[in-house]
Amino acid sequence: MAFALCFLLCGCMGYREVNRGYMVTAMGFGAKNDQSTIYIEALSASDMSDKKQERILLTGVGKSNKQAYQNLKSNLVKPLYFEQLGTVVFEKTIKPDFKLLGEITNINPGIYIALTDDANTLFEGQTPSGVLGYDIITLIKTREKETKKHIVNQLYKAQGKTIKLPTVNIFDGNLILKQAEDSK
Amino acid sequence: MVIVLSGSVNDYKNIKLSGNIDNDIAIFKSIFSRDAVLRTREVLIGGVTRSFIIFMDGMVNSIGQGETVVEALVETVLPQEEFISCKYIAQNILFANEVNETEKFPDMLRAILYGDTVLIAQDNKTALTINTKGWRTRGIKEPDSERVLQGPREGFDEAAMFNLAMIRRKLLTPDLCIEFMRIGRRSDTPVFICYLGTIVNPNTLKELKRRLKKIDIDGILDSNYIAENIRDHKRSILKTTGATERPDIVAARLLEGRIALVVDGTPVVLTLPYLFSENFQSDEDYYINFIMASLSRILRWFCFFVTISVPGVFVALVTHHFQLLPTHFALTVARLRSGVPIASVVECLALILAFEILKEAGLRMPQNLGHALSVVGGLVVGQAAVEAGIISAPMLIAVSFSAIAGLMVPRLMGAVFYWRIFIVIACAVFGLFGYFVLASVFAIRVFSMNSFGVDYTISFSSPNFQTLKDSFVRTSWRQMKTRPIFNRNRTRKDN
Repeated sequence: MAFALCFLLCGCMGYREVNRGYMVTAMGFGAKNDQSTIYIEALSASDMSDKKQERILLTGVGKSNKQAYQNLKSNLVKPLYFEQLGTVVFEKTIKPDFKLLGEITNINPGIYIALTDDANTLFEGQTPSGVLGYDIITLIKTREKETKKHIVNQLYKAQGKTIKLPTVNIFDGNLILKQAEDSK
Repeated sequence: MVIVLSGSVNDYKNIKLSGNIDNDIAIFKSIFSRDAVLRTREVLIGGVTRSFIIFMDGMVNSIGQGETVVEALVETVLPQEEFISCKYIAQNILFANEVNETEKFPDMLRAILYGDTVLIAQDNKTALTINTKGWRTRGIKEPDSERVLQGPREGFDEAAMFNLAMIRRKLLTPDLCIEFMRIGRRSDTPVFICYLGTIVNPNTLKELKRRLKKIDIDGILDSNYIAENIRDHKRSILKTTGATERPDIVAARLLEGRIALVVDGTPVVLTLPYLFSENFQSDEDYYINFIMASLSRILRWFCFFVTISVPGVFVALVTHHFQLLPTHFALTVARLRSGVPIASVVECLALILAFEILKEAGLRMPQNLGHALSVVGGLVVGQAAVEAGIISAPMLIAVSFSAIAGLMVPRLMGAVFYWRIFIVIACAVFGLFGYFVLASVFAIRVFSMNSFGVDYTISFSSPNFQTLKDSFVRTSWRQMKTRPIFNRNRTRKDN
């Protein structure tokens, strides 16, 4: 009975398997030639043979963020899991748009928001641990510990206000965190 | 006379001895005509008066019977009177320490069936039942299921009389009451109700007797036959009557104002009322330092929550709430699960079931084979299954940890299995929401139960601090001044 019930109910009520999707760790928003670009850094476990996590960089381009996200998703063979998303990065040239983030369910409300000069370079570049999402969080947390100040506002607390955001760039394989700047 | 046979000795209640010894012995022989172990022997009392002794071979102490009955009858010198009454034989001839005169035929049959010897004599319409019981028993051994490192090592065996003697030896007081009754239409099993007269709750005792009288069953082969018939909440997976094979536990329960039911033919004695907190108590708690005992008890409570929660919560985390897992841990789980062809919930249920199968198989095996089985089943098959990618290591760890934690609370083993299964299913469907809803339902259920009119959770639902002193922890005897709340004489000590 119990087994029959399980087989019948698997897939119901948001049932997913942790190994059957891409674990998103960082997300970036940029713009190029009047086209929105979305960068997603994800880790996948199920494709690996050498028992190490595999970093996957996904890119979607479209007229709007939503369109870019749809295009990105349409090429995927596995769903994206946003529960482990820790960092969202916006290019300085665009206005941070939280609408799309609001539409994605299961996003952790405690994610860090940062700015960058060039999202493409940031995501394509090599970071110290190999996972951009972790490295940005580590960098911000280290700085917070040093300065004993919260230098990043959290997403939902910041909506509708002018907020100061830190700038993260990559230079010679090193992540560099600049002073917090006003976002547009 | 037409006798309607139901299988009970009471079928023969209308039969009376005639005094004609040939007719009377013929009645016994006809009743046991298909019983090959009935023995009858004619003895001439003092070489003059005819008599028969009737007994079951193998159930009497032959040497004792020879010395106290046969020898006494044969070697006696009778007075000149012609009529020798049973009363005279009992008072003047027999050496046996327990002799009763009866005219009730069922009592004679019971005596024969229970290892006594029945003596009928010429011209007597009554018979003597002589205590010659002498069947073999297993002896006093430490019960395998209730072993202790420190404390008494004796356990009950299958003979109720010896079991009662063991209880009596612990409680040398005339306040110890032992009432007798028989249950079972065909087995006619002797059942003894034990309690301490001044501290037992009379309402509980009355209720117990009422329920015992209502039992209509062919035979009682174990105390569980009675437990199932008298318990509250008959369909609950939690037991509402305690069971032990240790006389020290029974004595301790009696001292708390509880009642014990000793059933002949089984070493398991029932105690009642039974509280939920008793599931977490061990005999040894009272024989070691109270601080160490409290630590053990807290661990048992912790393991109880672990054993019912861990598989379900783990399933909820890896199927619904990834955000609650640290990223590295989530990825490790994902990595180790890659290639596993079955869903986490099915994997979890299959492992729980596999563990139960291993446990059940190990229990029924001889001890040496049981060890081999656990090594082969647990280590070899488990590791091979992980390496083959049929199951994932994290799930195996979660279920194994839960199963080992479950062994800390052996009295709840059955209930824990079902709870674990239900929680896993609820977590798979509803995530942690399902866990908390189901845990609340279980808690409400447990708190709504009672045992013989006593709240099942009275030891921690009552605001009285005294009742808590032997529930989550075991405080020192110096501080435990009162007995549990359900008896009438609560003062255990005055200072």
